[in-house]
Amino acid sequence: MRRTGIALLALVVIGFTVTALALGRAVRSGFSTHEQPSAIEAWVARTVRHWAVPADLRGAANPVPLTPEALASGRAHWADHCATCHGNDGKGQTTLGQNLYPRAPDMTLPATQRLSDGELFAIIENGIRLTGMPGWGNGTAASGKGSWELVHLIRHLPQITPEEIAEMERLNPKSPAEFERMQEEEAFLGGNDHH
Amino acid sequence: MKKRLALFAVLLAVTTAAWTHEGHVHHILGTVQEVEGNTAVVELRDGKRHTVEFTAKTRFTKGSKEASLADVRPGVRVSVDLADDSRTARSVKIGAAAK
Repeated sequence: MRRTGIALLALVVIGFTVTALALGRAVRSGFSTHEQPSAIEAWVARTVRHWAVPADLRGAANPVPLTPEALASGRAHWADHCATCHGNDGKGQTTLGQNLYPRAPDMTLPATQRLSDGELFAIIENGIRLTGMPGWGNGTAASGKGSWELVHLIRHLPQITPEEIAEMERLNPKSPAEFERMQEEEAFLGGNDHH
Repeated sequence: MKKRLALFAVLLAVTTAAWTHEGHVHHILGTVQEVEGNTAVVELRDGKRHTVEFTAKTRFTKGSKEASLADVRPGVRVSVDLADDSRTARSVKIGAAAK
């Protein structure tokens, strides 16, 4: 009994020491979003994300029928609100998405695609704490419909076509400088500049 | 609604700032000079040369159609979005051949 107590105490002391050393090292070197989240952080984040989804939504099916109009609406919504971080193709290869901590994920991969419709809806509506994902919902029927259309679009991302992406690029938000750059780019690629 | 607009404005400002971040090259326009393996040398409009590296994640488009590395040939005009290392191509738009 006494041996067990000593062993437990030793484990606690070792655990405390390792944690203190790790924290000390982290505080000395600082924190940066340029590093990849560790496996433990990723596991904790996924677990917390799972708990954050209201139980009655986890198994919910998409109530918005999948139609060309719903997909078109989803594409326009995605291009305007989501593509800045996630990219029009959902792969997260954007300046903002690749410098977030954790990174914006490649949503065409199974890690996202195997989430249920209800989980995707809840993430869009409520966001994910301690990440760059904001909660976009406001509890209205219109907001809910928009989010369910986005769920359809997320399911469609692995099959999205270059034509659809080109359409979305025209709908992406642009500053005046970006608009000017887009026009300059079109003229250059078309050989219509004076280069 | 105001909160959403404010958040969106912040995101847009951050994106624009990242695009114009001094010392970082995130986008180039130029004419392909040579292609070797998964790299290409692009001559920019000011005459400088920039080496670009393509990966399996690089997306190639020509107009609204999907393209490939095989379409990146010497003499072709390209618009390249680069990663933060200023070398890795995230996406390449392929245009007309230079006159």
